[in-house]
Amino acid sequence: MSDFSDDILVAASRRGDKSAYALLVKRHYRHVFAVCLGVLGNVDDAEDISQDAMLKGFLKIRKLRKDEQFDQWILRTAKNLCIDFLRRKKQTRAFLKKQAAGTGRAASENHDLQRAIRNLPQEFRLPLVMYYFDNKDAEAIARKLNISHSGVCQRIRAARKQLHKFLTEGVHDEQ
Amino acid sequence: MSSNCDKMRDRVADLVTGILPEMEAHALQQHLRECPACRDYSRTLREEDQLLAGFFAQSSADMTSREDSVISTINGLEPSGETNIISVGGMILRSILEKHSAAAAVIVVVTLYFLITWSWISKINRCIELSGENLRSVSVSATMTTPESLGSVAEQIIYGKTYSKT
Repeated sequence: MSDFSDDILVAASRRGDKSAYALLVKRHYRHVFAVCLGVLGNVDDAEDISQDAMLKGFLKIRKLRKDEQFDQWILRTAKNLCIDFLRRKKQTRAFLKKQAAGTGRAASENHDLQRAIRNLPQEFRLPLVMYYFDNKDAEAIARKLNISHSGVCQRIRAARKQLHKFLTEGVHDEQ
Repeated sequence: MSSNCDKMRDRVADLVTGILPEMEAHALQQHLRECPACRDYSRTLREEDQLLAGFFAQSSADMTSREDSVISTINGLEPSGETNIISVGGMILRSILEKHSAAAAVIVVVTLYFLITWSWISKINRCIELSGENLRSVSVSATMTTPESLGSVAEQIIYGKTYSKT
């Protein structure tokens, strides 16, 4: 069953076949997690919302149109849940200025890196996160986000530049 | 650092990230060999790239356990695979072709209903007409009988006399 296409697994899942949906989870959870991490900027929140997204996908799989691909549908579901989560929480980011020691040296602590990633604008952060999760496949990201390949490259470039600025000059409150 | 370096820095970021086209990468490599500032900048970005890769690799290290957690949660759900009339109806109406087929089926059923109903009503009306005709024929027969003939018959019955009609 692991060699079956998504269409066949979706059809089985519609009939309540949990083992078929488990294979869909194995195939797509990673990308769902990447999108959630890209939107939310926080690993713990991304874990919770990506689990919610896969669960909702199983419960609402009959709403998947026959002309729509499962991966696009579940990613859209995850993104909507992330947006709802942010709206509910009314998150405000606390930005701390940290004067980087030395000149142009990258920060070596994951905590600083995670905070820098979290403070990237969502439109830049999402393709950057997906890029590292999807083995640096810009074409695949373009297809999933429904934007052009050059658009993906532009956003990743902007994310890298801004990340460099955060890591060398400190994180600034942008919102 | 020359003004040309500002233009090169975007390409350095692309080179480090791995999205720079090959032809531009050759030109950039040449510039990096000649420009220490851009070379340092490139080295810094590579360190950050390794940090990013390590950070995301760490985030994805627990992916299997997260997947298993999702699957176990789903397995704990109550069976939701039963079909019901509403879900079957929804599935039937999902595609355009199926919608057209459903519409055609509805039209056929409605037409048959009206045809059957009309034929029954026609039969009932026909029965009523026939009943009416019978009643009229009986009444006509009754009116054609004259009072005298009725009276002679009555007298015959009462008095036993016979009359002939003049």
